[in-house]
Amino acid sequence: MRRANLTILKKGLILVSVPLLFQLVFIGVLVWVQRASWLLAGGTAVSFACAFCLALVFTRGISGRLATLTDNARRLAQGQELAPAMSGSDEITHLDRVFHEMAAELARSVAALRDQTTILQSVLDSIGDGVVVADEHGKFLLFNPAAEQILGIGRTDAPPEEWTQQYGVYLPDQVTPYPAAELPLTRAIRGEAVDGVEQFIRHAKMPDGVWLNVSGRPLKDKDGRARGGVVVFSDYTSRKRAEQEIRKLNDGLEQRVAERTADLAEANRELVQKNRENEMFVYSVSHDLRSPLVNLQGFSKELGLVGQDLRAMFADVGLPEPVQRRGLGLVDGEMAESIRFIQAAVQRLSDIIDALLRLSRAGRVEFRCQQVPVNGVVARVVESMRSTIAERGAAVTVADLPPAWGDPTAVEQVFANLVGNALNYLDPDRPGVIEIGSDNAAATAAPDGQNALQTYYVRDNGLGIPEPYRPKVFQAFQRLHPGRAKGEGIGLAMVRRTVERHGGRIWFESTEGSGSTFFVALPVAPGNGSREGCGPNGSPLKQRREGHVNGSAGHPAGRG
Amino acid sequence: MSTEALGILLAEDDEGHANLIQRNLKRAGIANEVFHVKDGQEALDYIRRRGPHAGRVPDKPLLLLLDINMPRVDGVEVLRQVRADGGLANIPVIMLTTTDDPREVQRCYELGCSVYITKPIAYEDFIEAVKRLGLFLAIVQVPAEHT
Repeated sequence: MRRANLTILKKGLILVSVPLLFQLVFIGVLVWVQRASWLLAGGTAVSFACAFCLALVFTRGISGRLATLTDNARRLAQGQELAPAMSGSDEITHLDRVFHEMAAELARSVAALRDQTTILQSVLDSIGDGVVVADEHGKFLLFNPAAEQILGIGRTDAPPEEWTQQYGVYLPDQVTPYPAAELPLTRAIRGEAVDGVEQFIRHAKMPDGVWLNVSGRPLKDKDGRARGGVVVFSDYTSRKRAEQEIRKLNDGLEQRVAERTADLAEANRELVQKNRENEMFVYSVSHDLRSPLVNLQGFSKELGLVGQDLRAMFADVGLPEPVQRRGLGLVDGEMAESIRFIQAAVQRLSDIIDALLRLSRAGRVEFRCQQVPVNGVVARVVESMRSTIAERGAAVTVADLPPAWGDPTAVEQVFANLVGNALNYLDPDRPGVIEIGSDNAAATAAPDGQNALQTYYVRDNGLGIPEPYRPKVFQAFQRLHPGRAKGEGIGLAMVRRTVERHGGRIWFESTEGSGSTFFVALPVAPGNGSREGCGPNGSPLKQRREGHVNGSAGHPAGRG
Repeated sequence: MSTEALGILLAEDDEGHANLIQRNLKRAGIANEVFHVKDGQEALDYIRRRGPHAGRVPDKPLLLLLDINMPRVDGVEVLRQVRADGGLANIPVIMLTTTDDPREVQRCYELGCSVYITKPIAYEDFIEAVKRLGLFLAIVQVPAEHT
């Protein structure tokens, strides 16, 4: 700096002294040519000296401030504080002031830039997502800590075509190396936007591997030229693992559901089989019982005939009167009575066995299902009971009944049974009223997406069913009023069996002393794949579950 | 009495049933000879004159009364074999059984039984059927022992 000052000083001196020298030489020439006076020479010398001093002082003032300016420029470049502003009003001072203003402006810009950079840097350092920026040649410009942490390997000088191998990048199948040209960063550098690409990363440092979700964008300069690319990626290994776990669980669940379904189907088959066996058992036992019964029946009849012969013998004249009387007494009395008891018991036994056979047949007989005009069926049933209805003085009303899908004979038996029961158990103390109708609202309500059922009802104002008896209503050989009507008490058991085999339901509401309503729900259309019966539910298991007969629970007794 | 033109072969494993049937036939005035066998196999042997019946002399036409449930060979099988045998196809056959299963009844009629009667026997119906079948086979009427 001092040297520079000296140089300027020297230059200033030269600038001043060279013209003076020329002036001196010029004056000397004048003196020599014109032989001027020494006075003139002396004056010239004085003025020369003055001029020299003046030049010296002037030169020194300018060059000093210029040096300050120069120094300030250097300080500015090095980020140091500038020298204090100069005072004065000449051009150099003005220049110095402008220079100071510029420096202040620059300092503000630099500070702002530094702040921004700091923010960006801390953002990049602190976010969990990996951010990698590369220039158009594939040289990494930025590689944030998260990127290094996620990838397990930081910034390298590897060219793009080696990235796959360098960072252990695989396709989602976890075994195929990722095609280098398809890497998101490579594509971004090519100018493509990439979103949500799934990658698997595995290398020596991360033998278990991690899953990445990568998005990329090209970097462009202000003129739109591609200058590289940026990718952002996150580690979603835990989510991926959770997904895999869920999928595994789902698969397991499906497997379990399939197994359970198979179990149920098996149980169902067993039930069907068991049911069939039960019915076969009832059937064969009934027949086995029938065979000895035929003997009891036949030989008791024979005994009766023998009794008649004996009676004829004793009635024959010629026997002593006491013998005749005693003989006739035995034949007509004890013997006849015994035979009557035997025959009554045999008849009862025979009826029970017949009922059992009918019951077992209700479960075995094949239904021939078709559209059943329930209107016509019920009309026939009512007509066939015309005399009983008249006898009991009952009023029977039949509403318009929609058709059902079933075996016409079986459906007729169901209604015959229900109407017959209603008639049999009317209350003798009041005029009997029996209504047969249908519940149209129930037709649309198909349980579990099964075929729709149409609900019919038979309502009476009869004796009603006492609470304790309700659970037994549909059981075989249960009779509430044994004296009131003939029968073995299997009617409702058969009705239930028939309705269930149709895939329907039967239940009732009853209030003791004011009457009962029996509801029968029958399918309105053919079921799917029904083998047993002809209802919508092919399997007895389903029938049992969905067509469960419910006497009292769920169907509040009483109709108000 | 006239010649007994029709023989009745009764195949019945239950002694009591066989006894009752024979009593009722007799009581109804059917005096035809009744030959009782204990099962279907013996019935077939009798019809074809084989085994224990090899020496039987076929002196009259037969009417079969077959129980269905019998040991060895059941009544339905006897019916089937008889109907399948050209020489025997015209023999009248009455199935007599405790089974009133409609399918069983239908099967018997399909196999060609003449009458199917369910036990316990309404003997009046039974007698009527036997008589009707035997009418053209010259059933010999005898006075009834009982009305």
